Order: sequence, then structure tokens, then C-alpha cells
Amino acid sequence: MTAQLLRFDAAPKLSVDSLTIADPDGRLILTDISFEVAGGTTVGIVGESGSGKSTLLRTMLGAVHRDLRAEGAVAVDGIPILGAPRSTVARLRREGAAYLGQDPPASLTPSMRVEQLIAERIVERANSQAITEALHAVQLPTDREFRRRRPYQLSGGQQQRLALARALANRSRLLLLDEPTTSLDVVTQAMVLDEIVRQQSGRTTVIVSHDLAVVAQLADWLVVLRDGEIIEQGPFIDVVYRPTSDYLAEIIDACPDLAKKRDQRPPHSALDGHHLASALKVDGLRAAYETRSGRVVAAADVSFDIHPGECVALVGASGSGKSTIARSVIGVHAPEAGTVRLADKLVAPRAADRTQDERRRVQLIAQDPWAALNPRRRVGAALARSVERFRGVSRSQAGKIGLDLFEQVGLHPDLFNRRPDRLSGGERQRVAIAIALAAEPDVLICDESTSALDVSIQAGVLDLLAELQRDLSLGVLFITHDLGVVARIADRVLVLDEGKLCEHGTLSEVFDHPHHEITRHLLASSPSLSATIEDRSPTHIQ
Amino acid sequence: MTTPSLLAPAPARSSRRLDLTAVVAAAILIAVVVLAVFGPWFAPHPAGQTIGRPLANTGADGWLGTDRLGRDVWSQILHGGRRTVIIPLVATLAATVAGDTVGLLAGRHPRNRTLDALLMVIIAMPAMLILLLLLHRFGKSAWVPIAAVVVVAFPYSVRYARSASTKAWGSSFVEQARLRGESNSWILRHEVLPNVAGPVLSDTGLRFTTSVQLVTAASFLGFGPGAPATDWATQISKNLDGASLNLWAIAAPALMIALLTVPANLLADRLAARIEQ
Amino acid sequence: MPIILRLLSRLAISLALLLAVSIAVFASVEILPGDPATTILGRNASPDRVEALREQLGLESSPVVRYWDWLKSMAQGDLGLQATGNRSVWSTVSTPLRNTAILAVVAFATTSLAAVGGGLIAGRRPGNRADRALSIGTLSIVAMPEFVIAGLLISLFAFRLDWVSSVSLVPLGGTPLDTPSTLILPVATITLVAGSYGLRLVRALVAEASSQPFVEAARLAGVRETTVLRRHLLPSVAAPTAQVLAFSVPYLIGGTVIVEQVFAYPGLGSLLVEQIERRDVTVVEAIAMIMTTTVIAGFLIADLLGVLTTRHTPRSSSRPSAALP
Repeated sequence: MTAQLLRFDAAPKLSVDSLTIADPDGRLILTDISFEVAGGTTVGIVGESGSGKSTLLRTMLGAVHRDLRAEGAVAVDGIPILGAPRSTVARLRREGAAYLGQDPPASLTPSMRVEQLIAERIVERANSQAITEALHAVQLPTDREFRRRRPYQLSGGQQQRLALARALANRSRLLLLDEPTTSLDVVTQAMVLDEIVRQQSGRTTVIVSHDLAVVAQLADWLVVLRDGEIIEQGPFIDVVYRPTSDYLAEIIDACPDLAKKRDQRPPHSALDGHHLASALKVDGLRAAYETRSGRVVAAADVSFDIHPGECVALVGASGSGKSTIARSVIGVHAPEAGTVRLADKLVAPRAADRTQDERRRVQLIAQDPWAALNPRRRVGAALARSVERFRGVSRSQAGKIGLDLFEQVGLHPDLFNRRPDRLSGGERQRVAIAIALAAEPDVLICDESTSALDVSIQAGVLDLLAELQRDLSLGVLFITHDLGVVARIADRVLVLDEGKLCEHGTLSEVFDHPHHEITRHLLASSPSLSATIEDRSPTHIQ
Repeated sequence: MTTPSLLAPAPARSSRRLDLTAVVAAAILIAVVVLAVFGPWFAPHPAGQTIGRPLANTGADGWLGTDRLGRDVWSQILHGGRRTVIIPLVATLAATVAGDTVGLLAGRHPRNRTLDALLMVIIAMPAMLILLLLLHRFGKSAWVPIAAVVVVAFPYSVRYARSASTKAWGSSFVEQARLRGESNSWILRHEVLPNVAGPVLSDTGLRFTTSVQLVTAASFLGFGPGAPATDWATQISKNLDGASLNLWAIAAPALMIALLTVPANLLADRLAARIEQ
Repeated sequence: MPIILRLLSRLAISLALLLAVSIAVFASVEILPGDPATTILGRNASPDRVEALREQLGLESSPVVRYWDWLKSMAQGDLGLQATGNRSVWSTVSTPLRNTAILAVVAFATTSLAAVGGGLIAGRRPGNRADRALSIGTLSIVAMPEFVIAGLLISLFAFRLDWVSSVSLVPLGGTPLDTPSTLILPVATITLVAGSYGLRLVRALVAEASSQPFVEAARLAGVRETTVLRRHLLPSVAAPTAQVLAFSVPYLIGGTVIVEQVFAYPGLGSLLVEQIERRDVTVVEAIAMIMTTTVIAGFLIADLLGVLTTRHTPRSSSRPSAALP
């Protein structure tokens, strides 16, 4: 059999028909998936982790893991891909499609030069002219010096563009994107999305993502995937305006959105006439941490306070040292200067030098509940131990209180005697919250505590935190890079840039009238589902 | 992403599924150890007794024939098992206790240069050389191979236990325990040890293999027990010259040693892989 | 740190290690409890003879002085006189050393070939059938003592099939290269053991590289498999693989001792065993130092390779370490 030509002069049509994929145990990963992508249009496939969305995208490249069984049909311009001979699949990947996966810079082989990376993907003669065109298409320099560089000699943004240029160097008319902006900070994400939008024209595009706000900027047609099944699909605007499934409605609602600010509450100084004690007060904090590439100043003279019942968001780019500030406050990172006051009382910088009562007052919930929970201990035992130590009650009583806390954070008592590996990500994070609450703290520090969770799970945890903050009069310091989450939960906002607080105010002050350029930049780059939808559908607004 | 990828390793088999290789390996290992320990009671002939002409073939005298001195190969196998199995077991135990204790203690101060230097000196000397130097100094004795195993295995056990314990001591659940004011000994017992136990156990399995190799090597080089006491390695070395007449005189003990170490190594590897997950 | 300083510091560390090892060797042979002279002559020797030997060995002076003298002559390449008999150590050692060197060099070549080739085949697609088969195979071989493998090889190839001789007879005054067939079984044994060990380490490196996103991306970009291996995968495993091979040197040297004994190959290992039975202190020390110096030189080469190959890349390459004794 001769391999079919898989170069497309026009944007190809893509069809998936009754695709079902099962693992060796017979568990279905994808069930009866059917949809079509018209030539030149964009389909967005949205689903949470475990929905099978990446498997689906890879099937379009003929890449099905050898242990999986697949049925049904996937075709590009009528040419079957699933079950096609190797040569056809190879040609599709080489000539017919451009694929970009998660973390695009990681797709660049470190030992290869820019020109080699591009030339390898050029189908015709890879001459200098063709390389120049490919680089030019994504607004990269084309000079000789640049082409001789290796990926690590490029900036982060250039790496992103180069990865896209490499994917597109075969001039393919079919662009397949698998979470290309996940793990990027919002500013870089905005840049990459802009570039993708520029490349969309004249191409058929499929983008897979967990983030509805990202897909909203690109997709004409939306496919919602859950547990391997299509929950609903249709023209993007129609579907998000009038979702027919509860699931999509729930996801749209849960999607962090900086245009959907929480109700503003009166600032605390105005709550009652007299001065209210702050739960946590940090003054002149200076802290730095070491990385392989050098010293990073996390805090250069940072001061803030948190009142009981108030949620303060600390916003900054990832890697800017927000965690170091949190760790300095709880006393496990040695700051260079500055003081920490708990309930207006000065405490020692090191946790070891603080009293048990002082340590009790401020609790940290980290981003990764995996690391925070001992894999060999049952979560209930860990929780009870925390109650026992901080509340000074007997072991049996601690067990009972632990169970109560378990229910308070919305966990089923059946999970009490499980080990962490038998809990889901959201459940583990709730356990971490319960353990923190065992101390009856004044202040809870949440360090990116929800950023690893799916949006629907994240919404639940955020709601729980808001409820606890209200019911227990907890002060919350919420550290995040996600302005959508800030809009949902914060009373006040601190923006951190290069170790300095460059912006400080209530939620609406900061979001509506940002003073600092960094804040404006962050706000402009953050995707907002509702704003994007409004932009795209003037006809729907009456 | 939890979706299996084309290029990622095969999805891990669910832990409920029986691992056939492991079961077979465990069965063989248990059978060999039982045979070795209780063998002398079932041996058709006493240790060292000549039953016929030397190097007779299979069938004529005993089902595995006879060795160079006309002894029944099968009886010799049954008599030689105890030493071959028990001495390495004792050695492994001693080596593990020594190495893991130091490793666990060192885990709290991972940047100890002196310890690293000491370990490196041992690592730079081939195991066989250490064994021979000790044999040279202290002469024939079952204790010399045991001591050699302890010395040779020491750096590896220390490093392994240390890295497991360093990981646990540096974990954020230990940090949390400190923040709630737990004592070091409580943390060691409740947070660190349970996490170190698995890795240390799988490491012990690997050490056992090394230990059998060294102990049998000593016997093979002629530093084994004097007759009539015997072990499998001695049987191989003594019959090497006559193997053309009765192959089983060396093949049988060689197979027995292989049936002891190979399943042990496979099991330890499986255990290590499971812990890695 | 400038590259030259880093190279020099590695060299200094190796010299320090060599010094430390020499102390360990000297101590274990001469200083540990017991009297070397008695050790050499046996417990029933007459006191006069013991006294004479003590004099000859210079045992009257303090251990530190003796060590210093020994170290000085070793450093000058003078291995001294045999403790038993009056031949120079060098004349006893030189021919076996040459024979072992021939065996070791040939075995190192085949071992490297097996380790790299097998490692690539197994690690290229982790978890596939070839990988699983090689994994169980190498795990089994690594588990067996060298003499068991040698014994099985002899049983099969020398006796059952009668393809090669079970004994490596080297003609008097000749070298093993005169009759290359004598090398076949010894080399095969070492290759199986050290090669399996190396294969497992190389496989781990290749498997890790194979799961790198850029290798996966190259495959999804339709790059030919041979090109993927050559252009995307190999560059990132070349340096650590060279290190793995260097780390297999102690394995190889330990292996030669047993293998020489099994096949009656007239090398350094056989000599060491023989001299240990004859209790010759100086020959044992000399052989021990030759062996450990080779091992440390191997480590040094691994280290230098590591320094030289990581200077251009920003990410620190994970350095493989000898995982098994």
C-alpha cells in the first residue's frame, strides 16, 4: 500500500466517529465520541483531569498507547487515521499536522540549534529561506546569530514562539493543541494565545484544555468531555450561553473570573467605631531564598496586616517568592529583618522559639497536600494528633473532635481511616484544612492551596474557606497568581512585584482603579470567561 | 495528566492484580530455603560418604550421579544448603543493621563530608579485594566472609537508608509535626520510620543477593568449610575439573545458588518498584 | 568556577581518595591485630625465623614510618621485594598484570557494547516486551555469582557442546592473544555480569530521556525513529552513559579475580589468590594498590567527563552513581 499524501492545500476537515477507547482492564477511557470539525474552524475540547481529553487529541495523531484498545473512526479529510498503516501515521505527523503539547519549551531538544529544530520539520528543501519564513511567521529574529543559538540561550517568550514555529514549520493546515498554556503565568499565557490566534486563520484547529476561559478565546465549536463521554457540544457561544447540561453550567459558574467580583463588604475599620486588633501584622519583612541560579529576593520591606474575619489576597507572578513570605510568617524560613505580630503580640522569628500557643495561632495550608500528609499515616490519626497537641485534650476526645472537623470541612466520615493515597486531590486539600483548623487558629495562610485542583473542585474548596472565614472569624491570607480566584474570595488585595508591595487596597479599588502598571498588566492578561463571551457575541446581548 | 500516553511507560498494573512473577519467585525462594535448612534430615547419605566410583553418571549411583570423590551429588546438595543460605542471611542481617542504623542517624545531617569520604574509600575497593584482604589477614573462618559482607554492603546501605530518611526528615509533614511541638523521638517513630521501613526492606533483599555472592565466592576460592562440611560453592570449585564426566556435579549446585539469588533479587526489585510508585 | 579549577579539584579529590585507600590497604594487611611475620610463616614457625622475617620486613619500626616508606617507594613505582623469597615484586606481577589487562580491556569493550546496545533497546520504549525480557534477564544474571555463571557457561559450551576449552591455557612466554579462543569464556562471563549491570543503568538513563517531553514531541512530530534516537535522545544520555561505564570498572576488576580462578587464567586475580594462600604481604599489597588505582582512575575519568560535558548546559545533569556493589 502506498502512503497517502497528507499535505493539505486547504484547511482539512476532521471527523471523529463513534470513537471508544478502553484500557486492558476493560475500563472505558473514551466512550462513543463523535464530532466533526469543518475546515478552517476551531474546536475546543474542555474537560477536567481524567476526562480523556488528551487521549482524544493524541488519537487524532494516530497515537494510541499499545495497551489500549480503540474502536471507531478518526479521519482527516476522509483519510482514516485510526488503524492506518504506520507510513500514513508518520506522514500525517510529519506533513499533515502541527502538534503542540503542554509546556511547549520542553518540546525543544536542548542540544539542537534553532535552525536545526526548524529545519527538521520543513517538508521541502530546508534552505535558509524556508527557515527564515518559519521564524518570521512567529515574530522571532531571523539573523544568523539567533539561528545558531540553542534553546537555553533564548528567553522564555522566545522559547514559546520557537516551539510554535517548529510545530508549524511543515506549513500544516491542521493545528492540534494540548493545554499549550497550562503552567504558564498569565502574562506569557496571553502572549501565547495571541500568537495562536494569529496562526488560526486558514487552519483547522483543535484545542484541548481544562480552562474554559482559554478555550473561549479560540473556539468556534465546543465539546464538553467528562469521564470519557461527551456531555454536550455545539457552537461555542450558544452552548455557554444556554448550557443544556448541569455539568457545563456548574463549570461555567465555578470558573474563576475576575469580572465576577464577590460582594464587597465594608472595610473592617468601619465595622465598629473603635480600633480592631489585627490577627496578624507583618512589618518590614525582608527575606530571600537561594536557587541554583542565584539569590531571589522574596520580600524587600513587606508590611501588611490581617484582621479577624478578613481575607487578604497576596498576588504575584509564580517564582516571585510568595511562599517564602508565608514560610517566614509561620517561622520556618529565617527572614533577614522584620517583625511578626500575632494578636498584637510580637513573636520570635523562628517557630522553635515561639510558644505552642503562638504557633497555634497561624496555620499554613500548602499548595501540595500530597507533601503535607504523611503517606504512611491514616488521615484521621494525623488530624486527631493535631487536635490533641493544640487543644490539650485526651486522645479519645481528640478523635471525636477530629470527626467533627472532618464533617465541618465537608468530608465523609468513611474517609477518616484512609491513607492519603486513597483520597482525591480535593479531599486531601480538605483534610489539610481540617488539620489546620484543629489548632483553632486566628489566621489561615493558604499558599496556592487550590491551584492544583480542577475548577469545580476548586470552587468547592474556595466556598468552604469563605464559609470558615465568616463562621469562625478567621483571618485568611490567600496567596495566589490567579486573579479570578482573588475576585471570588478576597476583601483586600496586595500585589507583590520583585519583593515589594506595589499595590494595596480593597478588591474593587485594585481591580477597578489599579495604580501600578504591574497590576494593570496582570489584569489585562488574565482571561475572563464572561468578558470574552460578551466580546464575541454582540448579537446575544439585548 | 492521568491519561496514558503513547510514549509513557505502560500503565501500572492495579495492585490488586496478582503479580505472577513475584508469586513464582517467592514460591521458589521458600522452597530452596526449606530444602537448604531441612535438607540434611532427608539426605539419602551422610555428608561426605563415598557411595560409588567417582563422577559416575546420572542414574547409576543417585539420581544426580557422584562427584569427584564418589559422593552422592544429591546428598551433598542437601548437606551443603544450610551454610550457603544461613551464613549470607546472618551477614545480610548484620550488614543491614549496621548500615541502616548509621544511615538513619545520618539522614538528619545529610551533608556529612567525613562519612561520605569514608564510604568512598570502601566503594573504591572492589568487593572481591576487600574479601581477599580480610581472608589474608584473618584466615579461613565463616566470620571472615560475614565481616566482608558488612564492610562491602555498608556504604550502599548507609546511602540508601540515609536518602530515605533525609527525604522523610525534610518533608513538610515533619515540618508540620515540629510546628505542633512534637519531640524528635516522636517524629522519628511516627513520621519517619514508617516511611523508611519499605525502602529499607527492599534494600535488604538486594543486599542478600550481594551477600550470597561474596560468601559463596570465598568458598569457591577455596576458603570454604573443610570436609566433610560442605556448601554449594565449594562443590562447584572442587568438581570443576571433572565436570566433563558428570556435568551435574557442578550444574546442580550452580542451579541451586541461582535458584536462591535470582528469585530474591526479583522480589526485592518488585518491592522497590512498588515503593517508587 | 573556571573549568580548569573544577578539573583540578576533581584530580585532587582522586589523589586524596587514593591516599586514603592506600592507608586502608596498608592497615588491613600490616597493622590490624596480629603479627604479619607470624601470619606469613604460620603459627608453628620457629621464633628465630619469625625474628629474621620481622627484621627483613622492617617490622621493628613504627607503623607510621613503615607506611611512609612503603608509600614513598610505591609512588616511585618501586613495588619492592617479595616477602617470601627474594624476587622483586614487579617481576612476579608484570606478566599476570599484562594478561589481566588484556582480559580487562577486551571485556570492557564487549561490556560497553552490551550495556549501551541493550540499554538502548530496553529503554527506548519502557515497558515493551524487549524491555521486560531484558529486565528479568539482567536482573537474574546480576543476581548470580560470577562463578555460577562461569560454571553454567562451561557446562553448556565446553562440555555439552564442546565448542571451546574450559581452561584458558596460555603458552609459556606467550600472551593470551596468541590463542584468542582462551579469552572467549572468560570474556563472555565478565560481559554477562558487568554488561547486565551496565545495561540496567544505561536503560534507566535512556528510559528517562525517552520520557523527556522533547523526545515525545519529536515522535509526535513524525521524526523517524532512528533520527529520534540519534538526534534527540542520544545527546542527552551520552555523558551519563560514559560515566556509567566508568563506574562499572570496579565490577569488572572484581569479576576478573573469580573468572581467572574458574578458567585457570594466569592473571592478577589468580596471582592474588595464590599469594594470599602463601601469605605474601608485599605482593598482596602491590596487587591491591594496582586494582584500586585502576578503579579510582575510572572514577576520575567519569568525573572529568561529567565536568566537561555539563559546562555548556545550564541544567545540572543527574549524575549516575554506582547503584550496586
